[in-house]
This record gives sequence, structure tokens and C-alpha cells, in this order.
Amino acid sequence: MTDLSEERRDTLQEMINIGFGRSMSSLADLLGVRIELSVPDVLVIRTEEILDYLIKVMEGAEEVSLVQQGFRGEFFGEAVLALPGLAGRELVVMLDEDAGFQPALEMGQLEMEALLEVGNVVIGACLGQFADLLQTSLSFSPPSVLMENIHSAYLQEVLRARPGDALLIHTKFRVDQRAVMGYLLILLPEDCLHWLYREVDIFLERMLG
Amino acid sequence: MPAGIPGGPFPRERCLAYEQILDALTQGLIVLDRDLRVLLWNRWMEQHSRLERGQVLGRVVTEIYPELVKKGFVWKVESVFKLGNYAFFSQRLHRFLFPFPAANYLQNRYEFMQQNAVLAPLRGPEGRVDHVCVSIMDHTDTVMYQERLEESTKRLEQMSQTDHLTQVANRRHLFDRLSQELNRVRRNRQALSLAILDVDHFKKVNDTYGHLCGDQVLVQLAGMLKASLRTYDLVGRYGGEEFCLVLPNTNLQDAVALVERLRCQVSETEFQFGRLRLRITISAGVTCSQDQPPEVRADTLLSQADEALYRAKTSGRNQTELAVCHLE
Repeated sequence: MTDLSEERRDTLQEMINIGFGRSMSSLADLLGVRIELSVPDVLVIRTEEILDYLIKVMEGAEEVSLVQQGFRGEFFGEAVLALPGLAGRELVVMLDEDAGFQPALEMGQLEMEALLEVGNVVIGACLGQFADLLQTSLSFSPPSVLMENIHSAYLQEVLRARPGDALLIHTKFRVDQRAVMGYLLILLPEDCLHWLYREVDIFLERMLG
Repeated sequence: MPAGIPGGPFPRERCLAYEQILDALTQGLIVLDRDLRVLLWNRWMEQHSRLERGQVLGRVVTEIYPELVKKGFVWKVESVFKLGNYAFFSQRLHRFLFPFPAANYLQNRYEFMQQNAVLAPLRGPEGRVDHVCVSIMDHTDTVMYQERLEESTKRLEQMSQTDHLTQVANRRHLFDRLSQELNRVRRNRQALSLAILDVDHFKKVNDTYGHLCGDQVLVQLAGMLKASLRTYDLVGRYGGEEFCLVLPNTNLQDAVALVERLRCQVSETEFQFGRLRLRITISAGVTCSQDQPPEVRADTLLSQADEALYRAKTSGRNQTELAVCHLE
């Protein structure tokens, strides 16, 4: 009952894909560009290994920008959008040219705001629809942004979670026509996996039935 | 309660209760429709905006507060309607959403109330987002405490790195920076130079004119050194009358030229203490990371420069010497 079976893994992948697909056009409408997600990896990870995992997927990027956002509902956890350090500036240009997003802020702050906003909408679009497929809804905490060296002690401090296992859904995202790519990591702590697996099973039965 | 609030018609008592609850909230609550017209404006909003419901209901919020446009408000409301998700305004970036006077009478650190705001979707019976609910939280107190804490932390950090008398880096900070710069050298293989400067016959200055005069000479000298360096160079007080220069991205030749220039400048300068005018000279020892193993350590460089300084002293003072490893 509590294991991540092959079947559940496939269903979760499918659900993230369907969910994100549903919001893709509104997202494109809002951002002025298409965002594409690759097929997600779904795995169980020990929480203390998350940073190492992140370092691995960032493929040698030293400076990274992370947008972090908590979500809560019948299931809960933390989503992290990880981008290479220079992506913030790209996003500012992208949002300005394509989306008419122009808050009157200084460059550094504008970069943070662009990261927060893209993080917020991508995380929201992905998880909101995922929750919808599970016939529930989520509320989100305000996102926060960190621009750090990936090896910094501060980052280790921030990403240090309660010890235990967590379900990690990890997908690469790419902005069409733009040199922006990054990773979306969704972390679901052990405590909510029982509920999640049950609902995933129900979803699967509904699909098959 | 204005018409059009999602959730449909309430039984009368329940409606009365909701109305009171919304007004009892200690945060601002607004409901907007797709055209950004105000459908709800709770009492907190009335109190802080000094606009009553009658003056705002049915009006377009960006006409009442045109500055919202510059904050990207319209874009965020759009995102809530289009994606059905939450959107946020962070105080850290925007300071505030609505320009309300700071509510706390006894502090005047902020002209405007510092706010965090959340935009949430409100769905109609078919699940479509029909309205957006904006809630505004007064974070002025939290922000004030946080900023005070940050300021004092910064001040303490500054103090812990600065030499009290001369206001240049102290020995510890000097050593930290030198180690950091050496780490960088290891990565980018650029040359880093280090010089130790020492005032000649400083004891005589103290003995003849008193310690206050000696202190004043050090303060002036430190000021001179600081003024003639680039922003990424560092000058620090290494010991009593010894100063140290950390010169990133500088080869031996340039470092020697710089130190020589400083040495001449010092010897030509009249130092002042009250009505007193006096002249001093300095001796210097210089070393550089170039032609040394990449893992060369801070204390190695310091002892190389120190040894060169010793030779400058013993061979007559008012001169610059190179570390042994750079002598051919």
C-alpha cells in the first residue's frame, strides 16, 4: 500500500503531464512564451540527499537561483524551481518583451520579482492542476527566492529538511525560443504519501474503469 | 454586503455574521471582478485608506490607486484569473501595495505601512474564476524589527573587521580577506601581491611628541594608503605601526611600483599634529603569488613579506625590498 510501485510512478508522471498540459496555454498567454516540461522523474529520496541531487541535476552550475514555495492541502510539501544564476536576467527581458510585465523596480529587485513570478506561476500551474486531478485543492505560501552559490552553507541550511524519505517529482523545463531552462522539483514528505498513493490508485481505477 | 459576492445568496443571519467577520479582520480584504471593479472593501480597508465603501464600491481599483499599475498589479490579477492560482506581493521587493500611512503613531521610520499582499482566486459555481480576493497584511512592525536587527548585525560585523584607531581593516579581517583572495587565485590563476609597510623610527615619534601624536600619524598614513588604492585592494593594520596591502590581480612589478610610489609620497608629506609638522619615512617588503605553488598559504606570503621588510630595515630604511623567492 505504501510503496511507490511502477504503476503509481507511471500514473504520477501522467498526472503531472496532463495537469501541466491543461494550464500550458493560459501560461503561454500570460508569459508570452511557451513553457515545456519534460516527462518527470518520480523517485523516493532521503531528505538529506536533496541538495546533492540538486547539485547533480544543475550540471556544474555554480551560481543558482532557487524559487521555493510551500503548498498545503490534503497533501503538502515544497516546490523548488531551480535555474542557473543568469536566468533571472533572461526572465526580466522575456517578461518585459513578451508579457508586458513592468513593475517599477531596480534591476536586482526586478530580477528577483521576475524569478518569484515565473516560479509562482509555473509551480502553481503544475501543482494546481495536479491537485485538481486528485479532486482537491491547495493553498500556497508566498514564494521566496534565493540567489546563491550552490555549495554555500546557507543553501544547505535552507534546504535541510526533516530527516526521512520524501517523494521527489523532478522535471526539466524549457522556455520555447529562449535560452532559459531549469528544473522543477516537487517534494512530498512521507506523512502525506499514504493519502497520495490512495488517491493515485483511485485516479488510476477511474481512468481504467 | 454588496451583490455579486461569490458563494451565492446566504440565509440572512449567516450573511450578517459573514459581514461582521470580514469587518472584524485585522487585515485588508478586497474583492475585485474581471474589470478590476471593487465589490468588497472591508472595514480595515476603510480605516486605512480613509475611503468609505460608498466611495469605492463599483469603481475600478486602478482608478482609485493609479500607482498599482506601476507595481505590476494588473499583470498579477490577470495571472490569477488565467491560471486560477495565488499571486503574491512581497514587502521585501515592493515595500507596500496600497499607499497607506504607517499606522503606528509612535514610530516614523516608514512613511507608508509596509505590506505583504496575497491575491487569491474566487470561483463561481462552475469552477471558473470570477473574482479575485486581495488580502493585505500590515507588516510594518516585523519589518522594522528585522531591519533594526540587520543594521545592528551589520554594524557589529563592521566593528569586528575594523581597526578602531585607523579605521582600516584589522589584522583578523586582513587575514580572512587574504585567504579568500588566495582561494580565488587558485581558481583563476591571476597574480596576487602582498606588501607590508612599516613606519621608520616610529618609537622616536612617540617618545618625542607623545603617543597622541604617534596615533595621529598612523591615522593620517592609513588615510593616505586607503586613498591611493583601488576599491578591490585592501589595506589593514597588521601590527602597531605596520600596515599590510592586499593587492588582487596585481603582478610583482606593478606591486613594487605602487609601493615605491607610496613610499615617496609618504616621505614628501608633512604630517600634522596640532601646530606640529613632522616628516616620516616607511620601509616595505613585497611578495607575490606568481611563480609560487598554487596552494601557497596566507601565512607563507605574510612571512615572505615580513622577511623582505626586515631586510629593507637593516639596509638603511626608507626603501622597498622583494621577498627572497622573487630575487634572482
